[in-house]
Amino acid sequence: MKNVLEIKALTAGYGRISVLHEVSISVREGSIAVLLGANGAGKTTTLRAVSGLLKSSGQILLDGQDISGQSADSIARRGVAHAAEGRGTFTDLTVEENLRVGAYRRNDKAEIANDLEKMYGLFPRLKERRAQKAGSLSGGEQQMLAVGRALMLRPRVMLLDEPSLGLAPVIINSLFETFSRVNQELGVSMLIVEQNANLALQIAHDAYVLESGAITLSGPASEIASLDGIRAAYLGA
Amino acid sequence: MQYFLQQLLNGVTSGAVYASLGLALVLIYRTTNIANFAQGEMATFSAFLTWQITQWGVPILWSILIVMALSIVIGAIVYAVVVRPVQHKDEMTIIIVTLGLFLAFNSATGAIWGFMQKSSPSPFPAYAWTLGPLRISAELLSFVLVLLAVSGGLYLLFQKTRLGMALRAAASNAQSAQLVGIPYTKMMILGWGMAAALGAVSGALVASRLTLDPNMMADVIIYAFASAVVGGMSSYVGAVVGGIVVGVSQAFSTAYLPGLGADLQIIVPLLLIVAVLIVKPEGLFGKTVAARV
Amino acid sequence: MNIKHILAGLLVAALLIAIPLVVPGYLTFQLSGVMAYAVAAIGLNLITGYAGQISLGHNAFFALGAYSAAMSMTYFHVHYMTSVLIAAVVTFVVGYLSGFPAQRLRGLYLALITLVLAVSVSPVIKHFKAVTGGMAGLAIERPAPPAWTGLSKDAWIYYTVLSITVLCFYLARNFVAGSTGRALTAVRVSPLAASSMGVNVNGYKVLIFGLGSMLGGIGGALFNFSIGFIAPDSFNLLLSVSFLAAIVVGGLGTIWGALIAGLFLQFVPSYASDLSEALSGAVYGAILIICMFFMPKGIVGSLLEWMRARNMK
Repeated sequence: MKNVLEIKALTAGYGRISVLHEVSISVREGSIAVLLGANGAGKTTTLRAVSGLLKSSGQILLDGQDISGQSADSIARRGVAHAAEGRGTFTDLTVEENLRVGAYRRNDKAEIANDLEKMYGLFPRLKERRAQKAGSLSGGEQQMLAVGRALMLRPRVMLLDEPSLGLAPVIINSLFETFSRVNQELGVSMLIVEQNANLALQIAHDAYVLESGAITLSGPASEIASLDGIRAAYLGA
Repeated sequence: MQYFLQQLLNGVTSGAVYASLGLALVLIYRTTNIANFAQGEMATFSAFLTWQITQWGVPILWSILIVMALSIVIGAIVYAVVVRPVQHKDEMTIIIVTLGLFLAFNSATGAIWGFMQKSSPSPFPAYAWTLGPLRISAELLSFVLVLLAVSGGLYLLFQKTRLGMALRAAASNAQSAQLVGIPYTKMMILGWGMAAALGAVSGALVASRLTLDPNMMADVIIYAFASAVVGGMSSYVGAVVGGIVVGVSQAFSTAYLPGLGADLQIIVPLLLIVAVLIVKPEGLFGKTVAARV
Repeated sequence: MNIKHILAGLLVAALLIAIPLVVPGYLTFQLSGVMAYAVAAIGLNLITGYAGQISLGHNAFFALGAYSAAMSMTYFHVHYMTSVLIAAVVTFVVGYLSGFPAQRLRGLYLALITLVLAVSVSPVIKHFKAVTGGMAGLAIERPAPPAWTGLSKDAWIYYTVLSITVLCFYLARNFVAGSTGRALTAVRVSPLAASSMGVNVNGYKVLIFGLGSMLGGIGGALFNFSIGFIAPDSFNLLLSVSFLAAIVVGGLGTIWGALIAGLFLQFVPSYASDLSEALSGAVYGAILIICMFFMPKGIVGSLLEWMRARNMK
């Protein structure tokens, strides 16, 4: 199976502070990869480098083509959907507009309408609130909106930054279930960054562990989950 | 009664002028979250350009259209060179940069065309109808038509088109906009360009009423801000209503409060705005923004 | 405070005192102007730099101070020092009251309301022309040196202005040092956090408007002394914009930045018109923009940062 996303020897930082050191991650087509790590390890930085929000050195291959150095909006147009930390909802736009703007660069009107209905099917709460301003939604609903918007791109790969942050456990469960469904039914590839490793490891195929800007462990998710060190550090066991 | 109505119409006419510039201000604010203090001076510059082109023999209406196109370019350049480097910095920095632009444009206009007043041909027929005892000039109707067309057009653009949605998205969250593939910089350039073109229209309106003078917009900009502020800086309808309120209150204070004298009458509409802001800080049409802390 | 500081202070004091005795009269005259502007600039810096309230209306208080001082001398024949006091009281009261609307508004809206203040100055002065002299302006009797000093008029005015300026700097310095200064910073950076810590945010905002305006008014009164003649056109919107520009170039939130601001206000406009008569406004505007690009913290602010960075190494 080929890799939809390949990150090779990625080095990035903010100003003079170097955060990532030669990070390499692969996301196989149609699979979910999870990036674990403590606060400050560099997980968000990794995603920002991939989506073009941050300058980096090294290679970032999307379907074999190097996208490093391109602008964020052109990377998005190539099919990288990044649901950034903090949700990033367009608070002044309505829920429906938020979803529609996700399909901004698409021209297939009928399909966009179809996808919109699919999103409402996945997230019934959003359908109820379709005409409301997104800023009035709760944290959980905004996260769903962010995911929905990312899906409207029909992305080659979805980057999710700590989707569980600040959400109630019940919502988190349902959210991860949705991720799994989206991956299995729609075949969307994902790279999920999480501190909350439990659920992430359950739905992922591959796992990477980032410590102080370097990948220390990588492998099939089930293997990583069973390692004692991981259990202690991330799974609270 | 007739006097009252006539004053009302006068007020609406000048109000339309303020509203036209106010619309440009709201446009820039909605697309880039910046209050451009230099909008009036850029409009003056455009008005002088229009005059210049008419001096070369081009009919007035064509001149206005040409200058509108040129203004789009000017607005784009101003954004790219001066505004873009500081657009995400703090409010103080941005205000100062726009004040700097104010000074620069004002000075440039004077340097190129001199400070002598010029008269500009009016694009509107000098015709007037009488409706009973009232005198309704073609000027008034044209102003109102232009205003309705512009605000209607802006409303449609922003609320009903994909481009308008993209503009709103870019203003709402720059990073997220890029992440859905919206070319942020191009959107900003478009916003500034359109606002500059609108400013050119406003400049043409002002020039048709008064003589052309590098300082002609200096007062108008304040009334334009007043109009925009009434609308909460983000509502086109609000800017139009605000402009009319300002214009009418100015006309009424001139007509009915002669005791104030010519000097203080200028302040009356401004005091009105201060009152509005104190009572409803987000403007009459503005939405109370609940900010997450 | 060690011996080096004391010696440096004495040296500076000696220099300041010596100036009128060694430099040509017109330069002394200009330096008085610098100080008048500097005092007003500290005032604006308190409001905008320390408390973060954007004010485009400082010209109004500068004018109010100048006119109330001038009118009290012309009509009530008060001593010139008293006129400064009168200017201070009047502008403090008006400034304090103006502070109340400021409580509810932030950023742009506040700037707009202060803009209203700025453009109201000229019309109001002209309207009451019976007492203000209207467009024609008011002449002021400049303070005359007592015979026993043997000093020239320019020198005497210089010393008078200098003493008041030093006093104002000292008072301002003390005001922003310590807990008041920290409270101000809190108000500027995050009013919500500040009030949840028990800082009376609204109280501070209003007080700062009063104090800042008062210093603006004192500056105006001092301006009287140096110029000897005031007219509405000296106090227009451009002056407000210049004040703002000057404290930004000097350094927001720094006391010494006000001194640079004073120099800026006295010398830059004439420098700009020297450079190019017609384009002086453009030069002025360019200076503002370039400063914001490369030195957003102003001269003093950037210096302080540079010194801090050096100390950290």
